Amino acid sequence: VTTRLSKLEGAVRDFQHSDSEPSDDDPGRMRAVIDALELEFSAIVRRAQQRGEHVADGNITAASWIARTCKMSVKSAADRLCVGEQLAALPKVAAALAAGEIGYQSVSVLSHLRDKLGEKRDLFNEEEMLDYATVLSLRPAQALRRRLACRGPGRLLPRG
Amino acid sequence: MLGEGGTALSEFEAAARRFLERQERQVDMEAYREITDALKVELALAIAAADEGKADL
Repeated sequence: VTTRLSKLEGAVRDFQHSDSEPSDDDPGRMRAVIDALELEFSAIVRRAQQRGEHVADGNITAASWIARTCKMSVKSAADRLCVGEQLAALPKVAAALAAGEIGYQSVSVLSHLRDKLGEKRDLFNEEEMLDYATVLSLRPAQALRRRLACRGPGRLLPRG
Repeated sequence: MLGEGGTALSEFEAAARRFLERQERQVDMEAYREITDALKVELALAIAAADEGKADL
């Protein structure tokens, strides 16, 4: 049975072995595809975690299981799990990535930001944060995330 | 946007779009990861090629 995945594998092989035209050396377009596939990977690993697949092999955490299975760092695996978990609550962010308006790293920063808000995550204004991510570079959002990690969510949210 | 034009890259973009639109959600994540890792190598090569082109200016 030819699955969608094997078709994708074939397409990657064709792309790798094609006599590419100069216009194919387009890092921006390639990055957009990779980012869309990376976001899908986040959703895939989240679903695997929800099914409890990591428990079957006696792994302590889903992140360590994904890291070992997919030959990546635990930190990267944990990032994909966080993004996958937050994705359901961030449909506009996901759509912006699919449209090429933001990259995966921005989605990751926003996901971690929402995750760090903990019980106050309902106060995360997706539209407003998406505007920041679209207009600003990654640096201010990363700085916000670091401040949040240091001070806790209460210090960044409106008072009163 | 994914999948416009008629080059090797645009054909690949179209294949990626078809994959993302699939009905069957369960995927072999190890095989899938190998694909995205291979693509990141391709991206590095594209960046190197773009950089080489700039050096010729």
